[in-house]
Amino acid sequence: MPRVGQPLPIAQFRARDRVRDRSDDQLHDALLQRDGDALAQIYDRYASTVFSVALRVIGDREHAQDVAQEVFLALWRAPENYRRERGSLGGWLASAAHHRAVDVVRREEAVLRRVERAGAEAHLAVRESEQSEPVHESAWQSWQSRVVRSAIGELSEVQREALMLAYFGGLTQQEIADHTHVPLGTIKTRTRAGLQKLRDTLDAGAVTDLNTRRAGENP
Amino acid sequence: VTAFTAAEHELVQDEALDLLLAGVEPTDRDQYDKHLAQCPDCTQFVSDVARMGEALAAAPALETPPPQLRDRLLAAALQEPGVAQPGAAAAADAPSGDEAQPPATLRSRRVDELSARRDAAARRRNRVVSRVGAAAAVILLAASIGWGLTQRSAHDDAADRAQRLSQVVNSLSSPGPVQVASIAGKNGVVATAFVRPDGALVLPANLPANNTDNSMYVLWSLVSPTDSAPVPIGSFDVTSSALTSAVMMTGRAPSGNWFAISAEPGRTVPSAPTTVLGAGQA
Repeated sequence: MPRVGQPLPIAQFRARDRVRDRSDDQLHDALLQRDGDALAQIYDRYASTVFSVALRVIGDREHAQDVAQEVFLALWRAPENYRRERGSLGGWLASAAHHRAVDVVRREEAVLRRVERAGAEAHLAVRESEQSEPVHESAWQSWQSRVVRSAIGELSEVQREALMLAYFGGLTQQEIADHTHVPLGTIKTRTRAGLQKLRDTLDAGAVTDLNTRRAGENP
Repeated sequence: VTAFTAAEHELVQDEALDLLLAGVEPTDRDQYDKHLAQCPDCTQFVSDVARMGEALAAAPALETPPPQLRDRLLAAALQEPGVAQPGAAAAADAPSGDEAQPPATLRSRRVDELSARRDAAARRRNRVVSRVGAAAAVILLAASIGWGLTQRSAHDDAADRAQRLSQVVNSLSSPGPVQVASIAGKNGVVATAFVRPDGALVLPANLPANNTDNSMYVLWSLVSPTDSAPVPIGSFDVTSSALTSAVMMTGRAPSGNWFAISAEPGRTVPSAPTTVLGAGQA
């Protein structure tokens, strides 16, 4: 068995079938104990979510991979930064990916993020009817994704535009106002109303709590 | 409890929107945090926005990362301080008396090492992000040169982005079935196609600008990857100013759920693709 400082074959560092049913909280507990298998299992559970949001924001698979790796490494380095009482592990990882990705594109500006924003926007708008996702353990995540996209579809056009430009375009309220030639106050109103409508739709629908169910669970 | 003015509440909530949706730090982070610490209403607002941010993060259709990312991540994790043994599962696999489970003191020391090196880890993270940024800058520069992009202001770029995003949303939000296909070539995805019975829209992802005088791209529909009679759905151009735009086309209804993009010499749609750049299934 390898000792401290000795490289470990990656094959030994994989999630095992016997622990695949561990909950997110159990996996987080294991991470706090420096359990590498837990990291592998968390990756297996949320890699697609993390990678997808990074990809939608950045628009480049290579850079999205870098962001995804950094998100999981950050969790591995400091698992205590995730506070389970504040939300789900999946949501926390996705938000971390979004934050890092937006940080990258805001500094780079231009082509990469524009491409991705457009792609993300379009995906959001049209893929509700998607039949399947080629992701092994993502039944719940796929369903969750469709529910959110459906809720986004309930927004008015201007509300949706404001939210998408902010979230997937990394534009501030002022920047959206500047670039759409709409008064700042109007943009703020649209954004807030859009968020409120999104929350109401999600809360009123089948998704009573998007943040409590685990990956792999079917609705 | 401090009595805040309405303007102060609005400022904090505006900054919360920019922070949680667009990733932009508040102008005065200390003041922002201080306000939240004393204001339940704004704290609730931030909590709600954060929750919706998490929901939005779940919205993109799932994309599978390449398998090598997993190995890369785990290899990198192994290089972190205090990691040199498999976790509980591996320990459970080990025979009784095996040394897989480290002594408690050793484990504590590893945690201590981790804490002690957290600052260094943060610096490494920053460096990695910087490298990401540098690489993106190189790609951007190369793209700008290769595609002949002229220097444009950020204002113009963002205005274009807003306009085109609106175009995409408007185009795709109307009722009716849509087939979506990622068109991938040997070097990855080149475009995403959204195909309706009455037309199609293409989001170029990695298509160079073509000469609109003597060349064009064509989107084809195929019954299967080996379809010998692909149907041209429509043609489109990728120009320097439209590298990231949606391209609306009208043409024939798709014959199947496979799609391909070809580069064509000339401005007439041929009966069969000339140079296939990529294909994908809806």
